[in-house]
Amino acid sequence: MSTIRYTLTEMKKGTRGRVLQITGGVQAAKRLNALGIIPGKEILKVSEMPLHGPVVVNVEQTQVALGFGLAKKVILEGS
Amino acid sequence: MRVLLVGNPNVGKSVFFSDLTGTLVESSNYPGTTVAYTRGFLNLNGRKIEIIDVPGTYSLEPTRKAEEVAAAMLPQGDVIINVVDATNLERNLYLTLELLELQRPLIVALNLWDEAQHKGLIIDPGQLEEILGVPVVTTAAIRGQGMKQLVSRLHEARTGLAGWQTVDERYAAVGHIVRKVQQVTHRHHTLLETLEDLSVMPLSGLLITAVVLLCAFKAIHFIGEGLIDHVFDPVFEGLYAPLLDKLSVILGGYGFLHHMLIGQLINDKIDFVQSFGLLTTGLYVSLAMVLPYIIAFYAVLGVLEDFGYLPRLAVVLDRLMHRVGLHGYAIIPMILGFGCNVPAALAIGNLESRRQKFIASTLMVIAIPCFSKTAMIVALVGRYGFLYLAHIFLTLFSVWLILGLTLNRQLEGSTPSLLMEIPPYRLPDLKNLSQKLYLRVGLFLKEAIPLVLAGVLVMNLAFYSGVIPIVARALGPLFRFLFGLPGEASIALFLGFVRKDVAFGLLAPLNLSPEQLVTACTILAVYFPCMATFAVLLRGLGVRDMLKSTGLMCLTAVLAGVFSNLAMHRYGMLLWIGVLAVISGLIVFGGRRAKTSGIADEF
Repeated sequence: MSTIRYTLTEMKKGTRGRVLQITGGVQAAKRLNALGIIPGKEILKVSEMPLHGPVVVNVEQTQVALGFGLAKKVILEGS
Repeated sequence: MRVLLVGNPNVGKSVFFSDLTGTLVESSNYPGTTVAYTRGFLNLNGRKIEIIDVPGTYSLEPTRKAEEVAAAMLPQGDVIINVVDATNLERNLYLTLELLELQRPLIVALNLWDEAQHKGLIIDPGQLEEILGVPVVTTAAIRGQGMKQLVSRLHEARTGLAGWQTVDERYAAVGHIVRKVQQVTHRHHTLLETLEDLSVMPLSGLLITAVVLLCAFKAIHFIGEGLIDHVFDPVFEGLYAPLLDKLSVILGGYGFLHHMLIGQLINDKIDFVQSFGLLTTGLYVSLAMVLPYIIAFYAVLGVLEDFGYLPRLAVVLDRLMHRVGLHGYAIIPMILGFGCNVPAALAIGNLESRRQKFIASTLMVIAIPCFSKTAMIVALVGRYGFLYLAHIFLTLFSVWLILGLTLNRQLEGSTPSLLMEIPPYRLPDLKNLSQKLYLRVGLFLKEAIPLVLAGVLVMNLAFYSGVIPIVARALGPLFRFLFGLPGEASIALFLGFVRKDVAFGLLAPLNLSPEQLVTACTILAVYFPCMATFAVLLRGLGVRDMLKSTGLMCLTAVLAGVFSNLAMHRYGMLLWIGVLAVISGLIVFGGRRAKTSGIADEF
């Protein structure tokens, strides 16, 4: 079974994936971590708004909205 | 003894605070309601215990202002009550572990316990207590459940387990603990949860936004008019007016005291709007014209807040807000601004950068009319028809958009990405709703009435001493030329600094045409915030940014006034087409710049 990598913005709506890493600055990673978006976590993409709008994900019991710029920094892996 | 309430944002700390101290503080269903800390006292068997409501934080390594406030407060506490959202145990426990490492007496409150059970989460508090080594109590603070137990176990607070060094170790420990104490049982999606998802999807989200805003607007109108027709007007016209008539006769119908208290008689009768005395217009403006709509607005806002709709609105409007240099979360201060600009200015403190704070503050004070203004505009202009009202509010919205697009283009830096937790939809609790309404309406009365009365008094003294005709004559030519208004209208601008609603009231006796009223209302709405807002903004922005903002404000007020005057009397359609062209031009060009800076989308 081969795994593929993609960013949160490329991820398909309604699918699940595992967070692999967060690229970009330490600050961004810190803030994402605080909301539960941590490497190893499985997240479900609920929706994305058009024209590079925010992405909404479910992680554990929390729903989080991320702006497009931040969502691009979240790298996931899935099969 | 000093007790700190510490926890993630939106876990109910403020409800704890209200329950423990008996002091009402605002709490809503979105992160960031408490910006600065609040203190109060709990009487425990005759001992006075200080309770501090600390702004919510996800971690003790602060990444934004409210979190810095929280981290800085921790060393001052003798005991920490860690309020934990039981429906989000995994995320909340990270902060708990950080707090344990501080080695200070700690007690954990598993709040939203009832909601966790509804969600099919089975948590073993006893086992959690054993693992953490500190007392754990379960609470549902909004219903007052578990608070007695919490208070009775406060003295058991102690230092517990610690010993994690790195972030990863903490996460590993959290995962380990959660697997031990929590079981998730499967359960079907509820109707509310389906609605939650629909609210943040592109098409249904927009549709829901439109429906919610329309309903909110209708509800405010219905409640406001209902209160005026059935409560306030009968009381003022039926009970209060006869008393004043008697007083007027006793005072002899004229003279200094009559002028101050009753004002001028219009056709030998007291006119609540135009007489302009302390007991007539002074009280009528705040109590009968503005208060009903303030009640209506805050009643509706409270429901939207507690239901949890506002964070979804932030998601839906994030793109639009980026165009004006902000992100979705900034819609929350904007909406609060429709009630009163003062709490809105405080909520702007939740935004990340200085650039965002400047843009948000400037847009809010210039183009978001508080409900005191809105109520007066509706009262003055509404009777001439919907089109006149629409002209004022469309002008304000265009000002907001053009100014925002321009500021975003001209100011250096870029807008950070939105990142926010979206709380679940919750059915609003009637007690919390009514407490919040009581608090906000009370604040309005305490703020408004003294200032409105002071404004009326100052105006009357100025009229009486003959200062006003001089000012009016001096500014007359300028006002006629720019805005098509008589010089007397300039007086309203001076009074506007004290309090906006009474300044609008000053326009009533001038016998302005509907067109002139529209222009005067537009200028007054844009121009300078009232003293209270000014003071809060000065603290939040600093002198330099505040001066810049004020300069923009004066310039915009003049431009909006000239625009409104021209649009009302000549070239109306042509000017509006011009406005549309400017907006679309800014969107096209502003977009290009935003794209180049998009790469540096950092915090």
